[in-house]
Amino acid sequence: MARLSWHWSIERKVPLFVSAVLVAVGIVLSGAAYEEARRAARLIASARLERATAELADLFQRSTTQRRTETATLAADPAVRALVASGGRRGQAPALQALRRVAAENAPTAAVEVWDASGHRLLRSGDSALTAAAAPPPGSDSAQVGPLRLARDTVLHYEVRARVVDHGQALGQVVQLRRIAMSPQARQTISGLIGGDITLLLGNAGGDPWTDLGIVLPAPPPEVRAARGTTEYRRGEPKLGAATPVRGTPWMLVVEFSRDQVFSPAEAFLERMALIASAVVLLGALAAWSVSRRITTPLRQLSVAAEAIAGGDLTQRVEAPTRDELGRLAHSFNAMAEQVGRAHHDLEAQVAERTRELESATRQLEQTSEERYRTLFEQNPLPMWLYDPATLAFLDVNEAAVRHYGYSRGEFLGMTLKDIRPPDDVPRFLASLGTAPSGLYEAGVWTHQKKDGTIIQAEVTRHSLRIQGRAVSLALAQDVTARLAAEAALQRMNAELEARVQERTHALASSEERFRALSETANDAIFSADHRGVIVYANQAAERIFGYPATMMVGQPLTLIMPARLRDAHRAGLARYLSTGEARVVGRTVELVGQRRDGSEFPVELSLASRTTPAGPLFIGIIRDITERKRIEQALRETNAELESFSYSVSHDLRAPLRAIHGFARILVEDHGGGLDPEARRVLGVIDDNTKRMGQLIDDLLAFSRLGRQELDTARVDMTELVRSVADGVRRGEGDRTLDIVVDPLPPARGDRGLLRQALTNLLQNAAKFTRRRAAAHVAVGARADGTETVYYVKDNGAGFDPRYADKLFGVFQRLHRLDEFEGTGVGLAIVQRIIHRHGGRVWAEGKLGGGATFFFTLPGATRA
Amino acid sequence: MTHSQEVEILLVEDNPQDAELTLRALKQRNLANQVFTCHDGAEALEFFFGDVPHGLREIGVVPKVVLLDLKLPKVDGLEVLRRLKEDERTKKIPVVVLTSSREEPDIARAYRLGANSYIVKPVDFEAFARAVSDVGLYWLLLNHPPQ
Repeated sequence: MARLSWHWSIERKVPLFVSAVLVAVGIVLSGAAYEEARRAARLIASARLERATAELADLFQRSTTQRRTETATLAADPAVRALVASGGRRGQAPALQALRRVAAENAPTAAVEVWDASGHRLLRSGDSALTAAAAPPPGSDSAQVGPLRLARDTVLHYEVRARVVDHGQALGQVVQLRRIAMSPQARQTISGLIGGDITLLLGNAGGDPWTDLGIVLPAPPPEVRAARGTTEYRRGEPKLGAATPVRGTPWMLVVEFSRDQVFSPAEAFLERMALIASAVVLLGALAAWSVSRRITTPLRQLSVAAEAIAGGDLTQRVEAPTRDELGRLAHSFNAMAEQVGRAHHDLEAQVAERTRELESATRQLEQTSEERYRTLFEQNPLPMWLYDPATLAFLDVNEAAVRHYGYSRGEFLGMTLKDIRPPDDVPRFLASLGTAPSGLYEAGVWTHQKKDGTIIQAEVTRHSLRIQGRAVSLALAQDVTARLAAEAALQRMNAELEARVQERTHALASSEERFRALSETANDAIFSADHRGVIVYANQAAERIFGYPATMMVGQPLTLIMPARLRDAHRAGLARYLSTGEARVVGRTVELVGQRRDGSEFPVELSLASRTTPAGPLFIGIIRDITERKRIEQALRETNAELESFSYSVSHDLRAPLRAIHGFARILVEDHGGGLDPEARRVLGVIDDNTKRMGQLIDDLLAFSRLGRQELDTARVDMTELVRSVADGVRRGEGDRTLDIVVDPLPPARGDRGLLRQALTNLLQNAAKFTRRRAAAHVAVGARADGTETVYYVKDNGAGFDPRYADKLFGVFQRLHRLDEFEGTGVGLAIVQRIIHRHGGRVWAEGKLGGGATFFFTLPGATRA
Repeated sequence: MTHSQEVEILLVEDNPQDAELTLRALKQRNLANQVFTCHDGAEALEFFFGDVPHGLREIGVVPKVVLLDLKLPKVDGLEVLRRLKEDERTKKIPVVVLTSSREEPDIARAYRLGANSYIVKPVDFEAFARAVSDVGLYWLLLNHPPQ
């Protein structure tokens, strides 16, 4: 177990941390104090500098002002003016005297010269080493101070010029040349004035030469000359200085400190601060180390003790010298160590106990295992035996082997494995033994022979093992004779089934071929579509009708062949059928509009069926191009309309003269009846009858023609109720005559109730009319089932008809009886036929002359009787 | 036309025989002397709106019922009916349409235009006379026109 590294121990980390904090604080504080000290020193120096420059500049200005006054005075001296006015020829002596006086009064004055206006020196006095430069006189009467100049590289001097004026005209000038030289006494005065640590520099504002009033120096850096106020710069060493111009001269004054000298108190302060800070850091670190050590020593003791306990030394304890947290920790640790020791002891006792239990259980298990093995062998339902692999002699057999093979245990033990095999199988068996692997293996299926000679097939599993040091083999034999027989039978059945499937497939294929042949020769387009509405088959007629090759249509949705406006309805219908099974088109024949490849539309009749397949519904649609039929229907409608208007005018135009004939015949009878003989009245009666009959004929004809164009209003019709109501009406119309109409319960039908009432009325009136001569007139109405349809009938025992003319019964104006036998226009049955035909049904009659008649009709959609 | 003020039935009928039979039927109910007959649609319109001596506008007489045949020369019955029912002065006069057959599609149109009833003129004179005189009586005696 690794000990805590000393380098990262708390004992070292605490003093390190405290020292680091103290050092940081010391650095920050010292730095801030030092900066503040420097700032203060600089402020003080700056104030001194500025005051000194101002005072010195003032001193220099006063000095130069004095020189200018001297020079101007000299220029105004009458002797000098006279000399200049005479061009130097006269009055030289008095002028020279004046010059000498000036030079003598001031020691630094090196020389005095007088010049004329044209630049000729007229007179001079003084040091011949210095001469004035040729320059024009000043423009005004006041004298002018010139820049510092250097003669012979060492003599620093300057000129003061004043002009000589006579009668308002500048005649020439006086030039005083003065050295810059300072006596040691003057320098001391200045030093006393501004302080000894300060250097004074004087020079031209424009540049060299400069001087410290002792020696000639190069000009200080331009930045100090340009600045106003205190500036830091280097002149040899770092300086702190201030500059100011000297008024009335082109000069400049610079006063400077050595910067180090200014800041030396701040440096000294910093040194002291560093010293104090170091002392504080050292003391702090020592204190921190001492405190941390006091804490960590007992902790280290605890750590060592804990490691010892972890290492297994449960007797380890620690001292608890104090009563603080550390003391309590040590007490707790000791208590914990005590408890761990006790728990450890208990655990070891338990382990020893459990080990003893396990050992006894293992011994018990070994005993039962031996018993179980015996049971497994002895009571195994499959025959098992142990044999010697060398001699093949049986060493032991189980009960199942005795039972299955018929030999007794004693017999088995005197036999070898060869003895339970048919003799001809023994060589194969012996050959197989040489290749037998060790361990457990499937020895395959073998032919065995029982004691009674029965041959069986046995699947043998062998296991080579050692018992008490001896190599033995264990064999387990399972009789699979029955299983093998069953397998063979199953294979035969499979083969038969296969053959039948092939046969059936062949049959289906030929049925498929028949469907193809039929569909390819059909005149109507035939499509198949899957549940998504995608075309999977289209026949030749579909190609011809819609103009696409079949290969283009297959794989496309059915919407391909319908106009765009119908596609949404188609998709919605398909989705509805798939989800709810609600069929609006499937299983019916509807008229729709198709669209050819060229975009043209045409009317179609669609019959749609659906078949359930494993892949979902398959739709089969037969589409017939009904363009021609529609055209004929349209032509028919037009013809009908023409006929209708024709029949109206016939009705109107024929009835008007009839009405006149009838009306005036009546007038003749009513107004002149008295003057007519009986024969005349009979003739008028005939006219009367015939005009009425003609009117009736026209009305019937119109009613008949109306049937052809009237729309059917189809609904479910209760036929029993309808026939009974009609029968009541007909019976009433027959007055007192005995007319027996029997109405059986009739299945309901679908049809136009009004038209069916008309048809039934005509049939029953017909029956009533033709039974009028019977004493006991019987009419029966009933229905019977005939195949899939219901046949309604009206049967009477009336006059009947000659069956040879049965087909004429339903013709318009066709009558099979004379008018004087039975009245009528010959339209009633024609109307019946037309109504039934319009319903899609059939009507026919059976009868014989004098033997009654039966009229039959069917209605599609009638419930089966 | 002193008796024109007594006009109660205006018969518009082009067929003279039908007109005669109609009048005879009305006569049997003693209604015939109040009948005025127009022989075509134009004449009927003249009667109501025209600038003629017996024009309605001039004499201010309104018939109590108009018997109007639909098949008329010049202006047909439906047009006459439309004009009568459009005009504020004549729209309240009952108009009974006379037709040859109840098959007539014009019956529906006549009703839409405001005809009050119709009579099918049967071939059978008795039936015809009964129908005409019944309707004449109904409109003249039993029905009180709105005031």
